[in-house]
Amino acid sequence: MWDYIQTRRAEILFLGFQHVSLVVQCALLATAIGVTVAVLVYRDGRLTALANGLSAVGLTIPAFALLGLLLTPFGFGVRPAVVAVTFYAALPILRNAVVGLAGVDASLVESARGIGMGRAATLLRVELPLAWPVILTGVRISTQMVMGIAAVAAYVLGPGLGGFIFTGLSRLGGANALYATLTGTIGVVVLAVVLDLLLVLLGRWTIPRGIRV
Amino acid sequence: MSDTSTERRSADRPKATGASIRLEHVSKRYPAQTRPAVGNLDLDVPAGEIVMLVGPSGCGKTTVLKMINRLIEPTSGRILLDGEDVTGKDPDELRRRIGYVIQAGGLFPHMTVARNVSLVPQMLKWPQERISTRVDELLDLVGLDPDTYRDRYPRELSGGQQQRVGVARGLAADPPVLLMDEPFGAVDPITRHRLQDELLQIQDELHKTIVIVTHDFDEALKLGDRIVVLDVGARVVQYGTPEEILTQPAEEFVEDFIGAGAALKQLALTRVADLELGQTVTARVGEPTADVVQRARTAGADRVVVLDRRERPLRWPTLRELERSPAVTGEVDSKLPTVGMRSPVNDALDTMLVASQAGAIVLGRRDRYAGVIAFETVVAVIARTRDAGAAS
Amino acid sequence: MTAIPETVRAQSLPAAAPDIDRRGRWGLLVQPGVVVLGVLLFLVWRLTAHLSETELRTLGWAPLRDSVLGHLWLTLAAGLIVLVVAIPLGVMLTRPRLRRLSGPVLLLANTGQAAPAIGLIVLLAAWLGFGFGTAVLALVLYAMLPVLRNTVVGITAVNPALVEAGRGMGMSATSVLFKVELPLAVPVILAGVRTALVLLVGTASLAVFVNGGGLGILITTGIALYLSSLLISGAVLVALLALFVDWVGRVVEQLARPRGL
Repeated sequence: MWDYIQTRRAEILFLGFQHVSLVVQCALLATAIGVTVAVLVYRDGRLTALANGLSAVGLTIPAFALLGLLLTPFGFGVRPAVVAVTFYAALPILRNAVVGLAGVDASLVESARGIGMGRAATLLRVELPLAWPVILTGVRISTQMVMGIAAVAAYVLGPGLGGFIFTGLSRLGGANALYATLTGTIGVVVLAVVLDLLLVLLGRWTIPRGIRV
Repeated sequence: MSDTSTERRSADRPKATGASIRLEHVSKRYPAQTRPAVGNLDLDVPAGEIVMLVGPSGCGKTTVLKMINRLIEPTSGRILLDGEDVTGKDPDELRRRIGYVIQAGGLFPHMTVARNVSLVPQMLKWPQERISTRVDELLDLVGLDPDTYRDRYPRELSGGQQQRVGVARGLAADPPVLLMDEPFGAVDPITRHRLQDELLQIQDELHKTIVIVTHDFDEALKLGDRIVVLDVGARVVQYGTPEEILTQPAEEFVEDFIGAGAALKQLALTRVADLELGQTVTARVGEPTADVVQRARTAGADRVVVLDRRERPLRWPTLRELERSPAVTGEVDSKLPTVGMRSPVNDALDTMLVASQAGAIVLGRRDRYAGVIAFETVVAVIARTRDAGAAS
Repeated sequence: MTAIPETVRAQSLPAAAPDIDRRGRWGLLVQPGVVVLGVLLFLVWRLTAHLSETELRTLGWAPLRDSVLGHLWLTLAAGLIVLVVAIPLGVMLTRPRLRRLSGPVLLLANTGQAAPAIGLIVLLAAWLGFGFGTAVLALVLYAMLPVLRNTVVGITAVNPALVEAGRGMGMSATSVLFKVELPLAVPVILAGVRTALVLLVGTASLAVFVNGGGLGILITTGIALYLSSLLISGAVLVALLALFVDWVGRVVEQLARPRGL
């Protein structure tokens, strides 16, 4: 095993980097999408219900199936991977952002309006900062989930550590098949744990002491 | 310490910094409701006075308040601030000129005390230096030591302290008008009395125009220069001074609202400042105990009031308690019975009874020591009021 | 490392919340409607489309039936094992003697959850060989966490005053568990079961990689031969099945919710 890793260090590092890079970029995009949609819907009860419904239904669609569906319009490679990963990442973030924004005490919003903050200022300076811890939890759930989805995306020739797993699968019984699969699987777990820790640190850093749990 | 010239505040108050408020034919209708929430209301709030809006829940008093800063837009009518029609103004600009304080302060939990207080000056683009000076000044005004509290977060404060910061935030940009929606509803009765006293002290210095919504008639009597009694649809049943409302209730509705014991409620109209304040021996933190004890013995006092650097009373120990340490120590008695100069006599009585003390310390501006009031003095006033009530 | 318990808690929250929420009964009606409509559309397409020889090899009625049944079998078998293992395990982790272990076990399970399902399946295949059993085992491992976590969270969240009240009335620890704690934790546990089942339906489509059967065959064949008819059929059928299972789970949650909650 050690030899396997030693000889392929560069490749492992490169694919690991690709994996994280795919997940992080998609998570950023998904955060932007999820929060924007949440901001658009959270004031309206029916739109909120619709958004929650769609996000719950969206999460029931199997990743492998969606990746398959995306092949027709997007072909093989990075593009279907990006779309699928972003799609799944956006759902928990959307859900949490709606919950977080709806959970902001109405009297605080009124207070903000009452001292002369406009709609936008109230949103940016009061509502979003107060909803941020909940949104960030959504981001953490998302990244954990899509780390695995990104691995499946290797089947449609997406980037990342999933490549090792499918290499292992295709050579199962062969010399290094087990090592390749282990490398891919453990690599994803390690990266997921590290990424989650970084997000926890991000929380420490971005959540004001006044509202930290 | 007190004299009769401060007896009624509205009479000869120095120049008011507040602005007058005038509501002309103001109404508010909601689409789905047949009856208007507020129907054709006319109201004049003179500059520099505290006007209390009282009435049963659902009478529209909060709606009236929120229409003044247009958190609720009136369906029709005009609102004038110092004679200027503000109905068509940009609501955000307008609100920066009107302080707004809600129950529990409405502080933003993710911002420090200083940030909370500096929000409005920031929006008005004050220079940073002026803002920090202002924040300290305001914290001092509401009785919070700036160095201690500036960088705290709301959840690190008690309910009463949060409410004080709320008031400081409302006053931050020195607005001529302050609107308060059930400001002291979320704190315990003792703290509420303290906060009410402090608001009166602040008003004594600032002379703003303050409109307060409350459902607590005693609070209205205590704080109001004038009281507006409202019925459903924000119909003004009576608008007058506390005395007028108590002695000549306009309708049965008002009598019901005052409740039983109108005569005893007259007590609320007698302020501590109207009584004869006693003086006692005071001591500073750090003074040698022996000096203080000697001073007290000479004056014939068996207790002394310990003051901090800003002349605020900390505790009220007996001489024997004091003699336990060689120098006067600075610990704080959280149950210290204190009343404001503007407190009604019945508050003073409450305070003494709660603290099981035969007297209370009277506070002047910024919680400075002003004197003491004895149980006997209060009881005498009560007896007099009762007799007067029985005679009338 | 103080962040770890928080991680467990934070991650357990969304899954733990039994989310009948705002979709309510309205959603309970729409969802099966969508599923039925989807199945009908698929059947109409399947009956009218002209399929090639290759396509018929997987989309023919017999192979299609096998794939659907295989998928259901994978899901049900794994689901049943998960229930039988995870709920008692979760209950045990909330008993006084083992309570201290619940944190570390959940942490381990959480970390394990980050392992990609595909990796797990292939690893097990390398060890146990290809086949249905391997696929089921991988699915069981994968779907364990939501049920385990929600069982622990659901029981821990029961108001301790109620447990005390039960003990105070002279109920034994066992009868408090069965008469007070478990009934009150049912909604949360069921939400975990539903999450697990939906996860299983999706993950079962990966069983094809180790010859475990299921609808995955449509997708892999579709990708390999670049036949979008197969690809889309597979994806749509799996998604419909997942929606259906989700709906059944929601209905059961509604029905099993203790009255008064």
